[in-house]
Amino acid sequence: MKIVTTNLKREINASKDVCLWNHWDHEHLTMIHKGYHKTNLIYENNTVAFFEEYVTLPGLSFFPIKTIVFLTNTNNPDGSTTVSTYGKQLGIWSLSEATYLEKEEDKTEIKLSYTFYLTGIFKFIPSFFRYMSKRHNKRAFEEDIPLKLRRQKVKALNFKDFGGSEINSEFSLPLKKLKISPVLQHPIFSKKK
Amino acid sequence: MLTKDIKICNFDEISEYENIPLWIDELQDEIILLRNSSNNIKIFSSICPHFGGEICMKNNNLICKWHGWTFSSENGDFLGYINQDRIIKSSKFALKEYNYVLENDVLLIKNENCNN
Repeated sequence: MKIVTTNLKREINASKDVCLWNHWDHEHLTMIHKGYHKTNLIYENNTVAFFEEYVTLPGLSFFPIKTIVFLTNTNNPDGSTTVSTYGKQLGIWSLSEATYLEKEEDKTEIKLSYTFYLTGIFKFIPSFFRYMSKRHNKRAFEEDIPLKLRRQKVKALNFKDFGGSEINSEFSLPLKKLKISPVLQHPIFSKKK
Repeated sequence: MLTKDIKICNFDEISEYENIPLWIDELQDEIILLRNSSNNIKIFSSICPHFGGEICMKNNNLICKWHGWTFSSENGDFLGYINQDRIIKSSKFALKEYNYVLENDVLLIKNENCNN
Protein backbone atom coordinates (compact mmCIF):
# COMPACT_ATOMS: atom_id res chain seq x y z
CA MET A 1 0.00 0.00 0.00
CA LYS A 2 1.17 3.51 -0.79
CA ILE A 3 -0.19 6.48 1.15
CA VAL A 4 -0.37 9.81 -0.63
CA THR A 5 -1.24 13.00 1.24
CA THR A 6 -1.77 16.50 -0.13
CA ASN A 7 -2.08 19.47 2.23
CA LEU A 8 -3.56 22.82 1.23
CA LYS A 9 -4.59 26.02 2.99
CA ARG A 10 -7.29 28.53 2.05
CA GLU A 11 -8.94 31.62 3.52
CA ILE A 12 -12.40 33.03 3.03
CA ASN A 13 -14.18 36.14 4.26
CA ALA A 14 -16.94 34.22 5.96
CA SER A 15 -17.54 32.90 9.45
CA LYS A 16 -16.75 29.33 10.45
CA ASP A 17 -20.47 28.59 10.80
CA VAL A 18 -21.10 29.80 7.27
CA CYS A 19 -18.34 27.49 5.98
CA LEU A 20 -19.79 24.56 7.90
CA TRP A 21 -23.28 25.39 6.67
CA ASN A 22 -21.94 25.21 3.13
CA HIS A 23 -19.95 22.00 3.75
CA TRP A 24 -22.90 20.13 5.25
CA ASP A 25 -25.36 21.35 2.62
CA HIS A 26 -25.47 18.14 0.57
CA GLU A 27 -28.26 19.52 -1.61
CA HIS A 28 -26.05 22.06 -3.37
CA LEU A 29 -23.49 19.56 -4.70
CA THR A 30 -25.20 18.61 -7.96
CA MET A 31 -26.41 22.15 -8.66
CA ILE A 32 -23.11 23.96 -8.09
CA HIS A 33 -20.21 21.56 -8.51
CA LYS A 34 -19.15 20.13 -11.84
CA GLY A 35 -18.72 16.37 -11.76
CA TYR A 36 -21.36 15.72 -9.08
CA HIS A 37 -24.30 13.89 -10.60
CA LYS A 38 -26.33 12.48 -7.75
CA THR A 39 -26.26 12.39 -3.96
CA ASN A 40 -28.34 9.94 -1.93
CA LEU A 41 -28.33 10.32 1.83
CA ILE A 42 -28.57 7.04 3.68
CA TYR A 43 -28.29 8.31 7.24
CA GLU A 44 -27.44 11.51 9.09
CA ASN A 45 -27.66 12.91 12.57
CA ASN A 46 -26.14 15.89 14.43
CA THR A 47 -22.52 14.78 13.94
CA VAL A 48 -22.34 12.35 11.00
CA ALA A 49 -23.75 11.71 7.53
CA PHE A 50 -23.55 8.58 5.42
CA PHE A 51 -24.34 8.81 1.74
CA GLU A 52 -23.54 7.64 -1.74
CA GLU A 53 -22.68 10.02 -4.54
CA TYR A 54 -22.05 9.66 -8.24
CA VAL A 55 -19.12 11.73 -9.48
CA THR A 56 -17.09 11.98 -12.65
CA LEU A 57 -13.45 12.93 -13.11
CA PRO A 58 -12.54 15.84 -15.39
CA GLY A 59 -12.49 14.59 -18.99
CA LEU A 60 -14.36 11.40 -18.08
CA SER A 61 -17.89 12.75 -17.71
CA PHE A 62 -19.32 9.67 -19.48
CA PHE A 63 -18.12 7.44 -16.63
CA PRO A 64 -19.80 8.20 -13.28
CA ILE A 65 -18.08 6.62 -10.29
CA LYS A 66 -20.14 5.58 -7.30
CA THR A 67 -18.54 6.75 -4.05
CA ILE A 68 -19.57 5.71 -0.57
CA VAL A 69 -19.01 8.60 1.81
CA PHE A 70 -19.04 8.94 5.59
CA LEU A 71 -18.82 12.45 6.98
CA THR A 72 -18.06 13.44 10.59
CA ASN A 73 -18.10 16.79 12.37
CA THR A 74 -15.64 17.24 15.25
CA ASN A 75 -15.20 20.34 17.39
CA ASN A 76 -11.56 20.80 18.44
CA PRO A 77 -10.21 22.32 21.71
CA ASP A 78 -8.75 25.35 19.84
CA GLY A 79 -12.22 26.36 18.60
CA SER A 80 -11.77 24.94 15.14
CA THR A 81 -14.05 22.31 13.61
CA THR A 82 -12.89 19.43 11.43
CA VAL A 83 -15.10 17.82 8.84
CA SER A 84 -13.64 14.42 7.95
CA THR A 85 -14.77 12.64 4.81
CA TYR A 86 -14.09 8.91 4.60
CA GLY A 87 -14.66 7.57 1.11
CA LYS A 88 -14.16 4.57 -1.09
CA GLN A 89 -14.16 4.85 -4.86
CA LEU A 90 -12.82 2.36 -7.45
CA GLY A 91 -11.62 0.27 -4.52
CA ILE A 92 -9.50 3.11 -3.14
CA TRP A 93 -9.98 4.33 0.39
CA SER A 94 -9.59 8.05 0.97
CA LEU A 95 -9.76 10.46 3.86
CA SER A 96 -10.27 14.19 3.33
CA GLU A 97 -10.14 16.52 6.29
CA ALA A 98 -11.17 20.17 6.27
CA THR A 99 -10.42 22.11 9.45
CA TYR A 100 -12.16 25.45 9.80
CA LEU A 101 -10.71 28.02 12.20
CA GLU A 102 -12.20 31.51 12.49
CA LYS A 103 -9.06 33.68 12.65
CA GLU A 104 -10.99 36.89 13.13
CA GLU A 105 -14.64 37.87 12.87
CA ASP A 106 -16.08 36.52 9.63
CA LYS A 107 -12.71 35.40 8.33
CA THR A 108 -11.93 31.71 8.33
CA GLU A 109 -8.80 29.70 7.63
CA ILE A 110 -9.38 26.31 6.05
CA LYS A 111 -6.70 23.62 6.31
CA LEU A 112 -7.27 20.73 3.94
CA SER A 113 -5.69 17.34 3.86
CA TYR A 114 -6.42 14.73 1.17
CA THR A 115 -5.09 11.21 1.77
CA PHE A 116 -5.42 8.24 -0.58
CA TYR A 117 -4.54 4.66 0.38
CA LEU A 118 -3.36 3.25 -2.92
CA THR A 119 -3.20 -0.44 -3.77
CA GLY A 120 -2.76 -2.45 -6.98
CA ILE A 121 -1.85 -0.52 -10.11
CA PHE A 122 -2.79 2.75 -8.41
CA LYS A 123 0.36 2.50 -6.28
CA PHE A 124 2.37 3.44 -9.36
CA ILE A 125 0.57 6.73 -10.07
CA PRO A 126 0.68 8.69 -6.79
CA SER A 127 1.40 11.92 -8.65
CA PHE A 128 -1.95 11.57 -10.44
CA PHE A 129 -3.75 11.57 -7.08
CA ARG A 130 -1.76 14.59 -5.86
CA TYR A 131 -2.62 16.42 -9.07
CA MET A 132 -6.30 15.47 -8.87
CA SER A 133 -6.53 16.53 -5.21
CA LYS A 134 -5.17 20.00 -6.01
CA ARG A 135 -7.32 20.35 -9.11
CA HIS A 136 -10.47 19.17 -7.35
CA ASN A 137 -9.88 21.50 -4.41
CA LYS A 138 -9.20 24.53 -6.62
CA ARG A 139 -12.35 23.98 -8.62
CA ALA A 140 -14.62 23.16 -5.68
CA PHE A 141 -13.28 26.07 -3.61
CA GLU A 142 -13.80 28.56 -6.44
CA GLU A 143 -17.29 27.24 -7.19
CA ASP A 144 -18.19 27.64 -3.50
CA ILE A 145 -16.85 31.19 -2.99
CA PRO A 146 -20.01 32.99 -4.20
CA LEU A 147 -22.18 30.71 -2.07
CA LYS A 148 -20.18 31.30 1.08
CA LEU A 149 -20.12 35.06 0.55
CA ARG A 150 -23.86 35.14 -0.11
CA ARG A 151 -24.57 32.94 2.90
CA GLN A 152 -22.53 35.43 4.93
CA LYS A 153 -24.60 38.27 3.47
CA VAL A 154 -28.01 36.72 4.21
CA LYS A 155 -26.80 35.81 7.68
CA ALA A 156 -26.05 39.49 8.27
CA LEU A 157 -29.61 40.27 7.13
CA ASN A 158 -30.97 38.01 9.90
CA PHE A 159 -32.41 35.79 7.21
CA LYS A 160 -34.83 33.12 8.41
CA ASP A 161 -34.76 29.90 6.46
CA PHE A 162 -37.84 28.00 5.26
CA GLY A 163 -38.16 26.28 8.61
CA GLY A 164 -38.30 29.62 10.42
CA SER A 165 -34.80 29.36 11.91
CA GLU A 166 -32.52 32.36 11.99
CA ILE A 167 -29.29 31.59 10.19
CA ASN A 168 -27.64 33.78 12.81
CA SER A 169 -28.44 31.33 15.54
CA GLU A 170 -25.98 28.64 16.53
CA PHE A 171 -25.05 26.24 13.74
CA SER A 172 -26.54 22.79 14.19
CA LEU A 173 -26.83 19.58 12.21
CA PRO A 174 -28.49 18.06 10.37
CA LEU A 175 -29.66 20.86 8.10
CA LYS A 176 -33.39 20.89 7.54
CA LYS A 177 -34.66 19.44 4.27
CA LEU A 178 -38.03 18.97 2.65
CA LYS A 179 -39.20 15.37 2.36
CA ILE A 180 -39.28 15.77 -1.42
CA SER A 181 -35.58 16.78 -1.52
CA PRO A 182 -33.74 14.82 -4.25
CA VAL A 183 -31.08 13.79 -1.70
CA LEU A 184 -33.64 12.06 0.54
CA GLN A 185 -35.01 9.56 -1.93
CA HIS A 186 -32.81 6.56 -1.10
CA PRO A 187 -35.09 3.70 0.12
CA ILE A 188 -33.04 3.13 3.29
CA PHE A 189 -33.28 6.79 4.29
CA SER A 190 -37.02 6.83 3.53
CA LYS A 191 -37.50 3.67 5.56
CA LYS A 192 -35.73 5.11 8.61
CA LYS A 193 -37.91 8.20 8.47
CA MET B 1 -43.13 49.31 6.22
CA LEU B 2 -41.88 51.52 3.43
CA THR B 3 -42.22 55.24 3.97
CA LYS B 4 -41.93 56.29 0.34
CA ASP B 5 -42.17 54.81 -3.12
CA ILE B 6 -39.02 53.27 -4.53
CA LYS B 7 -37.95 54.01 -8.06
CA ILE B 8 -36.70 50.90 -9.82
CA CYS B 9 -36.13 52.25 -13.33
CA ASN B 10 -37.67 54.20 -16.17
CA PHE B 11 -40.14 52.36 -18.37
CA ASP B 12 -37.82 52.43 -21.40
CA GLU B 13 -35.02 50.90 -19.28
CA ILE B 14 -36.97 47.86 -18.13
CA SER B 15 -35.33 45.45 -20.55
CA GLU B 16 -31.91 46.41 -19.12
CA TYR B 17 -33.06 45.48 -15.63
CA GLU B 18 -34.82 42.23 -16.50
CA ASN B 19 -33.55 39.04 -14.84
CA ILE B 20 -30.73 40.83 -13.01
CA PRO B 21 -30.75 40.66 -9.21
CA LEU B 22 -30.88 44.14 -7.76
CA TRP B 23 -30.25 44.99 -4.11
CA ILE B 24 -32.71 47.56 -2.72
CA ASP B 25 -31.60 49.21 0.51
CA GLU B 26 -35.06 50.46 1.43
CA LEU B 27 -36.50 46.95 1.21
CA GLN B 28 -33.44 45.28 2.73
CA ASP B 29 -34.04 42.77 -0.01
CA GLU B 30 -32.71 41.73 -3.38
CA ILE B 31 -35.28 41.77 -6.18
CA ILE B 32 -35.62 40.34 -9.66
CA LEU B 33 -37.69 42.07 -12.32
CA LEU B 34 -38.97 39.85 -15.10
CA ARG B 35 -41.54 39.28 -17.78
CA ASN B 36 -43.48 36.09 -17.12
CA SER B 37 -44.97 33.76 -19.73
CA SER B 38 -48.00 36.07 -20.03
CA ASN B 39 -45.57 38.92 -20.83
CA ASN B 40 -46.52 40.71 -17.62
CA ILE B 41 -43.84 42.50 -15.66
CA LYS B 42 -43.38 41.00 -12.22
CA ILE B 43 -41.09 41.84 -9.32
CA PHE B 44 -40.11 39.19 -6.78
CA SER B 45 -37.56 38.86 -4.02
CA SER B 46 -34.57 37.02 -5.47
CA ILE B 47 -33.53 35.61 -2.10
CA CYS B 48 -34.71 32.02 -1.97
CA PRO B 49 -36.75 31.33 1.18
CA HIS B 50 -35.01 27.95 1.48
CA PHE B 51 -31.44 29.00 2.38
CA GLY B 52 -31.03 32.40 0.74
CA GLY B 53 -29.74 31.31 -2.67
CA GLU B 54 -29.97 33.47 -5.78
CA ILE B 55 -33.12 33.21 -7.87
CA CYS B 56 -32.93 33.33 -11.65
CA MET B 57 -35.40 32.98 -14.52
CA LYS B 58 -35.26 29.70 -16.43
CA ASN B 59 -37.83 28.11 -18.74
CA ASN B 60 -40.52 30.54 -17.58
CA ASN B 61 -40.01 29.59 -13.94
CA LEU B 62 -37.96 31.09 -11.16
CA ILE B 63 -35.21 28.73 -10.05
CA CYS B 64 -32.80 28.86 -7.12
CA LYS B 65 -29.26 28.40 -8.42
CA TRP B 66 -28.16 26.60 -5.26
CA HIS B 67 -30.70 23.84 -4.74
CA GLY B 68 -33.14 24.00 -7.65
CA TRP B 69 -36.15 25.18 -5.70
CA THR B 70 -38.63 26.22 -8.40
CA PHE B 71 -41.25 28.95 -8.20
CA SER B 72 -44.08 30.16 -10.42
CA SER B 73 -43.30 33.35 -12.32
CA GLU B 74 -47.03 34.16 -12.13
CA ASN B 75 -47.36 34.45 -8.37
CA GLY B 76 -44.11 33.17 -6.77
CA ASP B 77 -45.65 29.94 -5.47
CA PHE B 78 -43.27 27.08 -4.70
CA LEU B 79 -43.54 24.31 -7.31
CA GLY B 80 -40.98 21.77 -6.07
CA TYR B 81 -37.44 21.01 -7.21
CA ILE B 82 -36.10 21.54 -10.72
CA ASN B 83 -36.49 18.52 -13.01
CA GLN B 84 -38.79 16.83 -10.51
CA ASP B 85 -41.82 15.16 -12.07
CA ARG B 86 -44.18 16.00 -9.24
CA ILE B 87 -45.25 19.58 -8.88
CA ILE B 88 -46.01 20.61 -5.31
CA LYS B 89 -47.97 23.81 -5.54
CA SER B 90 -47.56 25.60 -2.27
CA SER B 91 -47.72 29.20 -1.18
CA LYS B 92 -46.09 28.27 2.14
CA PHE B 93 -42.61 28.79 0.71
CA ALA B 94 -43.56 31.36 -1.95
CA LEU B 95 -41.21 34.08 -3.11
CA LYS B 96 -42.17 37.50 -1.86
CA GLU B 97 -43.82 39.49 -4.65
CA TYR B 98 -43.66 43.28 -4.81
CA ASN B 99 -46.50 45.27 -6.35
CA TYR B 100 -45.52 48.19 -8.51
CA VAL B 101 -47.01 51.06 -10.47
CA LEU B 102 -45.95 52.98 -13.53
CA GLU B 103 -46.10 56.68 -12.85
CA ASN B 104 -44.88 59.13 -15.48
CA ASP B 105 -43.02 56.31 -17.20
CA VAL B 106 -41.25 55.40 -13.99
CA LEU B 107 -41.55 51.94 -12.42
CA LEU B 108 -42.15 52.32 -8.69
CA ILE B 109 -42.54 49.86 -5.87
CA LYS B 110 -45.27 51.40 -3.80
CA ASN B 111 -45.14 51.65 -0.07
CA GLU B 112 -47.23 49.29 2.06
CA ASN B 113 -48.06 47.02 -0.87
CA CYS B 114 -45.83 44.09 -0.53
CA ASN B 115 -47.49 40.69 -0.86
CA ASN B 116 -46.98 37.62 1.32
